[in-house]
Amino acid sequence: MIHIGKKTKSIILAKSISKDNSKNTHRSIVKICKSSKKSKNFTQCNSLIIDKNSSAYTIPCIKSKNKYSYIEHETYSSYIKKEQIFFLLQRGINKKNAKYMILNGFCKKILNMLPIEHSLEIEYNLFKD
Amino acid sequence: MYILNIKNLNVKIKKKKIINNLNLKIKKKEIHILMGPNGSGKSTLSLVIAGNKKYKITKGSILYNNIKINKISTEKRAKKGIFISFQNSIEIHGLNNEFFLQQSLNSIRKYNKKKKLNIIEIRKKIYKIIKKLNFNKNFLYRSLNEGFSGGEKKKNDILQILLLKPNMIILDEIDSGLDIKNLKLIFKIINKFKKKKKSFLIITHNPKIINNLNIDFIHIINKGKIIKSSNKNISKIIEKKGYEKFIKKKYKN
Repeated sequence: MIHIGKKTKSIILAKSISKDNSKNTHRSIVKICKSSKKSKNFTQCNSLIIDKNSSAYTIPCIKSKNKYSYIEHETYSSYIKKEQIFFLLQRGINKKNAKYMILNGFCKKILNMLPIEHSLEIEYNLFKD
Repeated sequence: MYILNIKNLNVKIKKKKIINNLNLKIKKKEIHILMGPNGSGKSTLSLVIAGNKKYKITKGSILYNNIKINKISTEKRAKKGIFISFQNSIEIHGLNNEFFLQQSLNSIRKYNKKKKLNIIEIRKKIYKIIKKLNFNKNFLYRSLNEGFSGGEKKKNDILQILLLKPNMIILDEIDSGLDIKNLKLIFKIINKFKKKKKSFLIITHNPKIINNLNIDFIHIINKGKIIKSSNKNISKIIEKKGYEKFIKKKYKN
């Protein structure tokens, strides 16, 4: 994300799910030029790790050339907790559905923004196992 | 006819014994209270009844409606009508509260061979219950338990009970975090449910609950064993002197 104009705003939202020994890397650059005073940026990058052997990395890069800008970076990584699945099982929901609910909840913010045509493909990918 | 019958239960977690030879019998239409000092195995007992795989049953059996449920999965136990409200309600990010209630209700109805309800029918049901509980409608569209206050989480558990209508209900510290008005409301609901042939096992530290509920038995548990079972009268002694009196007696013998 490169800011040039005055009082500009931007949001970066990245979510990743790692499965089957995969490695996920998030790299981003936020550059704020000298001319773009009083601009804002918010970067959020969350990762969900399902397997024991898969991993997730985040390498953010921030370059700011004026004193009046506001830049924020937030990141966390999480896994599906056993308590969460136990809770959903206790309410009569089967294990496959319970996992799907938690995964769907994790990436809901992004799924809502994508066009409807993609929804079938996403469902197939999440349900694959 | 017992709805829940626990015989000589022994439970282990990683070589540490938590429950020793525990016996407990609950009939239909009864409210039982379980009390005891911290770390005596109250919450563990509730999780074992729900079927958490972390805890291993080394000896004894749990009978539900005269059927042994030692090896039945958590999901099936829930469908048969066992409901547990956890001490710390679990938060799930992004899971719509209403969607969760729909899924839960429909899967339980399917198991009991009832007709599947559509979204509008369920929503009508939920709105009725919300009115009873003085809830704001907005909370249905928030994530499950995320950002709820302590009292709201407990009220959400009560909402699930009213919707799912289970037969055996285990409440773990339902009174913590609730204000007086809501607490009275919940006592009212529990007393009403008792008349509908539902049974309760309530885990609590607060002896004041006993005066407000129509209670049949009080059990005191220590080190994984029930050391005293009695009726309502025992509550005054607990309120004045705590559990020590019963625990010391056991050691002297």
